[in-house]
Amino acid sequence: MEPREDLKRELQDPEFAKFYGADQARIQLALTLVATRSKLGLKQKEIAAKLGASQPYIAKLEKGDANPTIGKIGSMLALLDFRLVTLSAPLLPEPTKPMAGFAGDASVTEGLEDTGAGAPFEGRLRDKLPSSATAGEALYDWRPTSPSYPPEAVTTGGAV
Amino acid sequence: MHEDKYKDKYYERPNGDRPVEEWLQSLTKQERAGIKSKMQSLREEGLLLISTKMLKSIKNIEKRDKQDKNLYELVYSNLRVCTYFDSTRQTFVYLRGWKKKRDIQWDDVNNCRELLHEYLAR
Repeated sequence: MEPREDLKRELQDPEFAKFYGADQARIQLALTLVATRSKLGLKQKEIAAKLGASQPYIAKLEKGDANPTIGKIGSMLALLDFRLVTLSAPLLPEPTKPMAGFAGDASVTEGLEDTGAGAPFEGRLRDKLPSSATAGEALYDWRPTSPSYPPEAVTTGGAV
Repeated sequence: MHEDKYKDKYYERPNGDRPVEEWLQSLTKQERAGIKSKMQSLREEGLLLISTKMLKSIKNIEKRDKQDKNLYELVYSNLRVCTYFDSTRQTFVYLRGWKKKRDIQWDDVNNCRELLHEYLAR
């Protein structure tokens, strides 16, 4: 069984799903914090001083090993002039799709149309939540100019 | 939109053994969830995970071969999964998993390399 199918099978177990969900939240927060720090051009030590925390704690947060309260996340982000935005997305995202590369080949491009069925809620609510969208886009500026990082990949982290 | 941007697979040896898949079964449910969560993030984020230190390049190798630069370890607590990034197929191949102790586990790293050479020779 391949890893994705293996995960899908294990997620049927509520106890496993709980552990998995907790870890995913920590990973998403870590990715967002790394992006925020990089955007500000600060080192872990500098950000720790700004937040009144230790550098090892920042390292732990960025590694997804810490388990801060939601209030603590909000407080830390406020000191950096950001705020927390939470979003939800399907537990198991869409599987890898083939790259579109043959114009006119319907069999290749057909499956790539976004029906919105599996999209995070934020995609559909974005127009109604201008402030959230602004915050998300501010972070998006930091990301490398790779097609691998659409804005959604950053904003779904939960903290901006 | 969240989606998997990379593929991954458990390496299957010529004798049919799948070292990482079998190793995962020896872990607790919480440990398995942690590792599989990191694997999911790897499918979504790829090498970006290096910025979070959840993915590290395996550097402590003597006499590095060219392909060794694509050898990484996925980190969850004290657990490590050695993975090879096959850039031509945009696929992460999980070769071996182990529990890290205080010192560098040379046997684990070297075994990981052997599995990589076995994979590349096929």
